Amino acid sequence: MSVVAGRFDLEPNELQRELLESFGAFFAREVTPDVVRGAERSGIDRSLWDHLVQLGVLDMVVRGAAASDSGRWELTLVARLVGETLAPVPFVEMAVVTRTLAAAGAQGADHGVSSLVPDPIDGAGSQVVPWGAVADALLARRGDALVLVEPTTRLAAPAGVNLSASPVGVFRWPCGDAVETIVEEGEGAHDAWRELHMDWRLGLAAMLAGAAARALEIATEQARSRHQFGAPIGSFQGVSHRLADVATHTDAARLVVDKATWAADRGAPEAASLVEMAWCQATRAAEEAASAAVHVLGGYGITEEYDAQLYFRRVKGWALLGGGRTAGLARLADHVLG
Amino acid sequence: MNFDDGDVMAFAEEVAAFVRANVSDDELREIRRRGDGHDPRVHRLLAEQGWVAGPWDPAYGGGGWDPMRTMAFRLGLRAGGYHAVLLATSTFVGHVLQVLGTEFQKQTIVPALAAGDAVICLGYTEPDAGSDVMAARTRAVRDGDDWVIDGQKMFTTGAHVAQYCFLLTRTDPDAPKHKGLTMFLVPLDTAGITIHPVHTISDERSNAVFYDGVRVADRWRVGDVDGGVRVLSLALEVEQGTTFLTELEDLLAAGIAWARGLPDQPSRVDDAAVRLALAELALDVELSRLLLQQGVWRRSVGHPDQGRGPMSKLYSSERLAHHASVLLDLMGASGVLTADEATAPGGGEGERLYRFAPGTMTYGGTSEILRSRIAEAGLALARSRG
Repeated sequence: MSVVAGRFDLEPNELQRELLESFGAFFAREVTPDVVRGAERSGIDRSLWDHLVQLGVLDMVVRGAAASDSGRWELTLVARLVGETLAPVPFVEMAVVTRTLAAAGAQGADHGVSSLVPDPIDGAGSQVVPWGAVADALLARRGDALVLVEPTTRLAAPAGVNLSASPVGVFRWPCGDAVETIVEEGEGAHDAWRELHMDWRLGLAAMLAGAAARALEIATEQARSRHQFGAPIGSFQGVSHRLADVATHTDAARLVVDKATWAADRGAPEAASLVEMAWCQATRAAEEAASAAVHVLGGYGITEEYDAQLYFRRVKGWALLGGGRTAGLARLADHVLG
Repeated sequence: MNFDDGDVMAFAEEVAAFVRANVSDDELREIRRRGDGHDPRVHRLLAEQGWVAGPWDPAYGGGGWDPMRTMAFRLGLRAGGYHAVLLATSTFVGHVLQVLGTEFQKQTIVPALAAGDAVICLGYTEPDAGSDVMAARTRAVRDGDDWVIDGQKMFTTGAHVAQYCFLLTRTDPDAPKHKGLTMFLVPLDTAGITIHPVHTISDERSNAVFYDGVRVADRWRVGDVDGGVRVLSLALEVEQGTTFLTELEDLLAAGIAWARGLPDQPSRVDDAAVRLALAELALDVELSRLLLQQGVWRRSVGHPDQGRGPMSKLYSSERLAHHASVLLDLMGASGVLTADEATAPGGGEGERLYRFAPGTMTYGGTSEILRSRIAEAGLALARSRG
């Protein structure tokens, strides 16, 4: 227990409130379920993404919206809105990669999409890469170097609409047909890679916490309005108690994401373990909430016409692209047990 | 947003340090073994610090604590090793007396509570009225200036060491069940009261209390005749903030100690199942803390509860049961050993908390009642019970 003259406060400050209000209005207006469905196959809505970039979402994360501001709150508050609305944009990956490159004094793709290759690419192998099928540049780790890989041809997109409904690509290495630039080497590369992963997972956790909150709303609206046996189904404890548990998980996810953001923003040493906790909780809450939404809708829940399934598929897909929950627990155990 | 609770938790640290400095380990062990939820000597020491009356208005000798500081006090007491059910009940019933009590109660009982000379136990639950607290049947009948009370209460924890019982009675059996209730503060040395011990697997002693023609003067009535629901509502409101965060923390500490191993026991830190289980437990410690802070903070700043108040108690109690079970399972055969046995893994904390956990999901509001409150107040779902 550290004795610091802090004052615990869950109220968003002026900057945080402004971000949530102005971008919240934008996402509510622009990112309708029709927009999400329109990008079901491509996984990306380029005009929506261009619009967001013009509004400065990337600059905010890279430079911070205010002086003495790490950009972490900008990352997670916007990511929450991306998750709530399922906006088909590469915000989190673009933001964290651009940020890492800027910190190293390097540049990413000028106009296109940058993303990251999650696992190190020593030797030979292949892995599924978020936004890989549309990426012009990929930040990767090889040996003790951080490298920017710019494939001369786009990565192969796997067949079918994948669970994340995003344009993943399959990255195979060593790859002959790519321009490769060393961004950083040695200790600096090690730190930058660690920070990149922390910010990436924090951003994804915020997306998942946002998706959980919206999925809970969908479930709750149905529990209030759907009548069976002459009563709203939300009056049956089999339904209401499950939703109470989801509400608890969803609150917990938002709180731990906010706390991890707060710690990362201050550069606090506990930020690393809090980010793993945020990841473990947000993945769980989002899956619980989306499963409940599908189930409370009964048979309609599994039909394509209803929005619940959009959340159900994506939240699991996002959790998997981030490496899955169990891997997060294993990393958390490193903090708990050393 | 600011998650820095350093200022308020510095007080928890102060309270824990006070307990450790003034109560020996042997004494704490003995208090825990008795399972009374109260110790007169320690209680008076805490009262002398002004801590029993801490949350009260300064006009009543209180410290005017906000809910955050009250939370820190409770966490500090538990961290120091003192488990005090009657301290919490005495503080919040004292608060109710200040708002709804008679002059006699304010002048006589409230100062005795603040000084630590008297403590109060709760007489709500009956054999046939648990979660359905308003179904209480213990009768109070007016007789001149007195009331005569007949009936039975169950799980009156601390009745054998308290001076008073905050007793819910039925004064109008013909009115709808929530309209015929009246609250009393009954001196437990009154003739006609019989206290039978009820021993539990949680190492806590509770009581069944029988009221047989118990005669009390009208000045012991709290609130209006047939106005018991208002008193009960206020009491439930000021009782908020229950959690089993400290027990989860104790279980985590025991689990880590066991995993690292003793000189003569193998280390389990490389066992993947152990690592994942302890990571889940550490996560739930943090989530229980955040849910607690959220509920308490909302009350501190005057935000409506919206179902947030019960979340930490619900979550921490259920996860305590889960993690105690998982940890014992990982320990294998030696998990059966209790804290009495020096070689018990994790000091026997897993075994103790496995037995302690079931009660935590019942008293102070069952998990089912809490889920209904979250669904109704937080999600605006229809009420599921009368």
